[in-house]
Amino acid sequence: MTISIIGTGQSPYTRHPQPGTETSQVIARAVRNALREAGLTPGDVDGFAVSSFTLNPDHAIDLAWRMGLRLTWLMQDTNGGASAGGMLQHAVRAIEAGDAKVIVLAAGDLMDGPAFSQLVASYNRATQDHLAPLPMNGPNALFAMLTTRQMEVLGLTREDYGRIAIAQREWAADNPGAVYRQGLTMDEYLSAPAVATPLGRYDCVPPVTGADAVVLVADPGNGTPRAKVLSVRASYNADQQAGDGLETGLRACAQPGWEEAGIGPGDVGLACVYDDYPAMVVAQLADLGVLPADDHPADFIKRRIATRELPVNTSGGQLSAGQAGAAGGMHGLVEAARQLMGTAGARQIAVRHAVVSGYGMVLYRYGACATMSVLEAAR
Amino acid sequence: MSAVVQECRNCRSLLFPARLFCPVCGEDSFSTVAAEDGTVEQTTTLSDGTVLATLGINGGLRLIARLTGSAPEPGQRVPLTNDPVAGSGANAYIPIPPNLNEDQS
Repeated sequence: MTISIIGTGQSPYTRHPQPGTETSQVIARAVRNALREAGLTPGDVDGFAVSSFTLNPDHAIDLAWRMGLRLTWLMQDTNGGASAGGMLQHAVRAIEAGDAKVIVLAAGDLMDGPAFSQLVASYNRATQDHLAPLPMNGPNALFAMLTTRQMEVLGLTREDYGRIAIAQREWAADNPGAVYRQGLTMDEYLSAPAVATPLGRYDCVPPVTGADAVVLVADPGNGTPRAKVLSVRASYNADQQAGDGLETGLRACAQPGWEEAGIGPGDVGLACVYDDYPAMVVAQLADLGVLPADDHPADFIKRRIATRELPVNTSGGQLSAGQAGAAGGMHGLVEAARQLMGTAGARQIAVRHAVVSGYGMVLYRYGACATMSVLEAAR
Repeated sequence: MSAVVQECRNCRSLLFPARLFCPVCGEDSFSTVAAEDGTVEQTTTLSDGTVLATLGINGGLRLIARLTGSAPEPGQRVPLTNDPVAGSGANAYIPIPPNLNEDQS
């Protein structure tokens, strides 16, 4: 049995949500759009999973009730940037086991200024106790120091990271759903206001309000364009926060993930990696083996990413499209599925295999959750 | 001047933030010890001029701190403190909640 994505949906990303907007409405809109694309109605759904930082006081069951879903499988995932892969892992097994036939995965957040401040100040107990009082408002400073470590180890410069941000902005020009679509020059990148040295404004994601959703079924047959899930792997707390953060949990996912998929990292025509910062794009591509260990990272960025020889984050990624809270984890999955299903519009590429990674949940110094999914275009 | 970290009573691993089980040996009995100083590994300067740092202390433990006084360069040793207003000399502030000093065994 193979499980496939047959519909994707988003609630439009926006920097400034209308007053009165609720998280549940934003998520429901993405679900509705995904079901429409799949040619299904809420009555067809028997499995639902959601990830959101701002759903409180509601939970997955409240959302299911308010959307009229009658379910035999339900889950809520709290792992932010890694939540899409986690939900996908569970959903694939649930369909295989017969617990559900049509599963919708959704993630979204109302992420205006106050919601963002609240989220980063009370992210977890370690943040509340040991980071927020520094004061530190959000993870920028942590990833600034991680970026410095990576620059030293891999010999990268700010220009190298700039090439990643600029390449993604070029993709965003053809994504009507991205909040930043105007071209970005290297001068603009380098001279942007410093956020936390060495990171400047264009190294950091713009928080947005929005949501993403996908619909999963087993073997639809009948020529329906779909994105077949070849493998899903997850890693949590791989190194107990005792390392330097330059390796992610994807390092452990890669070998079994590629083996199960039956292809290798050189076979993918699209990589959608979790781009909370350009340094994490580099780290994840390396951990997945897409950036080969014997290649030079700076050269790889110039030769393959900047030229689009290897399309990376073709939606513009979170750096240009925006980070809709927990939907940041679903963003790359939706984009990969769209490219594989042929629904990516002006930015459509010819692609058969894609790899999607999730990364997130900073415990104290860097993210502790990672997920890897390999997808294939099919009909 | 010093900052409080957790020590596993069994294998003496130093831990921060405090854990429930020791990630090295799996035991759940801890004491707290005072760490006197740390070595600056990386720093970052925020837009308001605040300087934050990653510090390495004995045992390979790494802490996130705010540097005060003349911002030290990577490689320099700085005294640690849990006092946010420890004075104008070079030091590294490590925030802890007031109850962390209690024995956690």
